[in-house]
Amino acid sequence: MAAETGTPTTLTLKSNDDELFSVAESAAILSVTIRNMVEDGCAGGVIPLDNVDGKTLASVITYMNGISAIPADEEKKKSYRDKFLSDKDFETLADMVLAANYLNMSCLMDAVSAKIAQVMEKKSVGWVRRKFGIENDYTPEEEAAVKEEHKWTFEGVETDDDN
Amino acid sequence: EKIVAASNYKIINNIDNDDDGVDKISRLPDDILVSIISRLTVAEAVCTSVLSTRWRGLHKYITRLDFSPTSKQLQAFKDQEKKRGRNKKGDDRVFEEEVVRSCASIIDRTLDSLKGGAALEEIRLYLPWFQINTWSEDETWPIKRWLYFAFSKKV
Repeated sequence: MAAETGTPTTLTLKSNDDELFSVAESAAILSVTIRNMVEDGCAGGVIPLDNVDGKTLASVITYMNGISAIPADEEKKKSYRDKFLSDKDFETLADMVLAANYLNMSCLMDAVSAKIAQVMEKKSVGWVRRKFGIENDYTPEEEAAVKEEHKWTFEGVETDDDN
Repeated sequence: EKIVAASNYKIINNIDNDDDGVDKISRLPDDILVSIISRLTVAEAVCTSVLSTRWRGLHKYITRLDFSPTSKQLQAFKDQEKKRGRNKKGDDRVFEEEVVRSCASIIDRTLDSLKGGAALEEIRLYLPWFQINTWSEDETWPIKRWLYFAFSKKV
């Protein structure tokens, strides 16, 4: 981090729909993308984040502030993440994982990926298709071929739904 | 006329009750889908290939390999252990080696099918001690190979 005096400790982030957000540098640098900008000295003015909308960025900043306020205690951070994600619908989670990817925030990316994966755990292919509205565009022959190719996984995977 | 603040109706809307039938997940880019299925066991991740053509082959790029057994497999291991306690040597050992070999071939096939030179974050293997124990020196080579693989992928 730049150690010059006068280095701003608050950054201004701009979403792709032109909303401005003030965030403490110490929280914002959870994003490696932002940290690199700070280290390169290009974070003086407004930082435009062209792939994140205001609603998502607000959420991400809430997360940045929340998680950086927790001292180095992985257990507490994990429970903060769980709570933070517990009331998010799929669309919000999808926006957040895209933002986390763009901002290079591995902890958020991991947490959201795990949250979405949790829904698929121990579920049959049919259940997952219905849950996420995935249309099966295989022909019956193609589907049979893919199943045959990965036969061992169907023998091994146990599901707790009724298919 | 009374307007009730929306916050009075605390409808918890989260991912568990969020299924409007619109396929939003398949619209996510490949690297995000890979990140999601990387959190499943290898068997579950491979299964996602069957969902639709969009998902086919994504499992070859997963960054974590979790070979944890299902409870069904665990039960088979346990039964085997029990049987081992009752019987003396002989056929058991042959059977055990078969079990391990079949696990090993799954692991080998998976490692072979992985695409790209991406670093892996984690490999989780479940190797019951009693089975490894029964392997003679030269038979432990698959484990060595997996470890080499793990090192080469910077796990």
